[in-house]
Amino acid sequence: MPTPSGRLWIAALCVSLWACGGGARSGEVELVRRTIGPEGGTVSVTSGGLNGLRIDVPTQAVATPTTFTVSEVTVPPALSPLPPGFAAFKPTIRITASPAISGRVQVTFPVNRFPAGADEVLSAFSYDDASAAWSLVLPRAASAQEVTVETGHFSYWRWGVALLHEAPGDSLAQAMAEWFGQTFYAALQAELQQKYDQIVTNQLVEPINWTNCEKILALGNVIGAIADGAAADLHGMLTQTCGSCDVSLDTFMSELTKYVQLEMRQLVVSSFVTAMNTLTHVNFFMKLVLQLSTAIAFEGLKRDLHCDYACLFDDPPPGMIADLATYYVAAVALVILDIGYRYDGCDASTSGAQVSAAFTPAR
Amino acid sequence: MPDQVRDVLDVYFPLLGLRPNTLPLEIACWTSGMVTVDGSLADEEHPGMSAGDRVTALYHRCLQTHESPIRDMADGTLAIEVTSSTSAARTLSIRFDSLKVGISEALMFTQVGEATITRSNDGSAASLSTDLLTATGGGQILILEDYLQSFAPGDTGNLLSFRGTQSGGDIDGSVTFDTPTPFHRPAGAYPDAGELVITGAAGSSVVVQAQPDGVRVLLVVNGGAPIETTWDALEE
Repeated sequence: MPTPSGRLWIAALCVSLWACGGGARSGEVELVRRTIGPEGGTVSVTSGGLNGLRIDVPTQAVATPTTFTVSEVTVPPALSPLPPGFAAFKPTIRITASPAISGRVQVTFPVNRFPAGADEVLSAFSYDDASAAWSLVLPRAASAQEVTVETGHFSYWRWGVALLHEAPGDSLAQAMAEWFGQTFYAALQAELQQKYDQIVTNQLVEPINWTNCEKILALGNVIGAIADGAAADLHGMLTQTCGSCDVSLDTFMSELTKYVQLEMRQLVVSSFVTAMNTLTHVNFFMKLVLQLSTAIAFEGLKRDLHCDYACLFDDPPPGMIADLATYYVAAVALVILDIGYRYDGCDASTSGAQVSAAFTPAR
Repeated sequence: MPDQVRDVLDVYFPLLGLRPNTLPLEIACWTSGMVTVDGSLADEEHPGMSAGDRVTALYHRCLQTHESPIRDMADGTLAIEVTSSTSAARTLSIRFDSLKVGISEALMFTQVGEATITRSNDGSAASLSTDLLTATGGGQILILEDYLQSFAPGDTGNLLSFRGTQSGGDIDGSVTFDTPTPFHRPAGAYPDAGELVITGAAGSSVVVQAQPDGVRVLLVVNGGAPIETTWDALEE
């Protein structure tokens, strides 16, 4: 599937940059305070339960010497509760920057290991005073020992695990929009919905008779060809946009699809097929992309990638989002067809080559 | 197995392995409230798999409704400790420390007592036993003694058996129940084999016999003529 390295989507266009001044308030214990100038630097907590927490301030992220603090909130103020699906480590912390800054910093939180569950994503949660609500903040990077987010928001923070099957859809949508960048995300969402309507609703669900093996196979071939076409388009864009990244179509698509092959099946089997009417929820795609993005951010997997695909996604070429959405939806449709096909015993009456040709999306 | 116990085993134990620097966890409940999870693990890569691993779930008016239309409220403490572990199975000790569970704040039962769970490491088979478990609430006191419930997968379905003595509540005296033939329940269907014997005061008894069609049930009351009914009717 189309989503290489931590990339692209990196054009986070978050605008709400505001800072809280000052250090610890009543009910807080200040753990660290450091003033950092335009040359950049790091603020680290080096002992106690929050050992390993740090703020990396890039060069030129602050225009003037700025004092950063990290405080442990020992007596929590009357904050709104965490939304369902958020499992956060205690305690709450508060991060401040004074004076307020307009740039973004990286905040790294310690963890003990990477979650094993496909539906669990290491995340951070930030508190918005204006809306009195916690927001999910997706990681820019994660490893077995830490999770890093990028932000310009200085307020209360927590970190832990987002349980995707429980997390509210609007929280995921908001986090996705932040992570992808509002413009990119909105376009992707619209394309996903449109392609879904075209392929899944109109062409898959209504006319398909799950006992008609030939029809399933034929439709699989059609959708497989659609996926292949989108893959070829994407590969062409990669070559044009990222000239130095010489990777074959096979390698390109295998890097994009290898996560989908696993993640989709888990999602599909657990909830997708059993509740077909939820297909209309673009949240599925959000969750899918969310899992992919986190998997890609995971260093162990990232090392396997041959290209830094950020070049492709930082400034998406015309048509790329449409191809991306086409490929996503085609891949989803193929998985559904594959399951239906095998569930009805069609593979017993069809050669392995035919099945493979129909249900192996792009490479 | 109570939902709270299942959550602790399948969700909270694994999450505990992720925490840094032994920080406790707070988990938001589906509708409202919170669970604070703490404990200790011998091997954080394999949480809940070593003897001595323990987890304490402190429920703060935790209201869940996501898996069922029935509201599920919990408030209080549930503690589970792995007392033994082999490559095939684990035995866990469960302590209900005035854990209140119910469908609303107005109808909560306070559970006090200890139980033991044995569970295969792949989670496919489990049994729960307790010498004495007391639940008070709604103006009633329910006492469960010498209770054993076991669940095991079979080739064509699951086998469920249980036995014990229950007293209190609307029961005058006590009743014992047993499944001399475990119930066999095909996936997604009613049992098609098995027998439950309930024995009350003065030798009164009810025998519930599943029938091979998985639809009908025979009831034998005090040794009289069998009465035919259906699982659907019994559930209504």
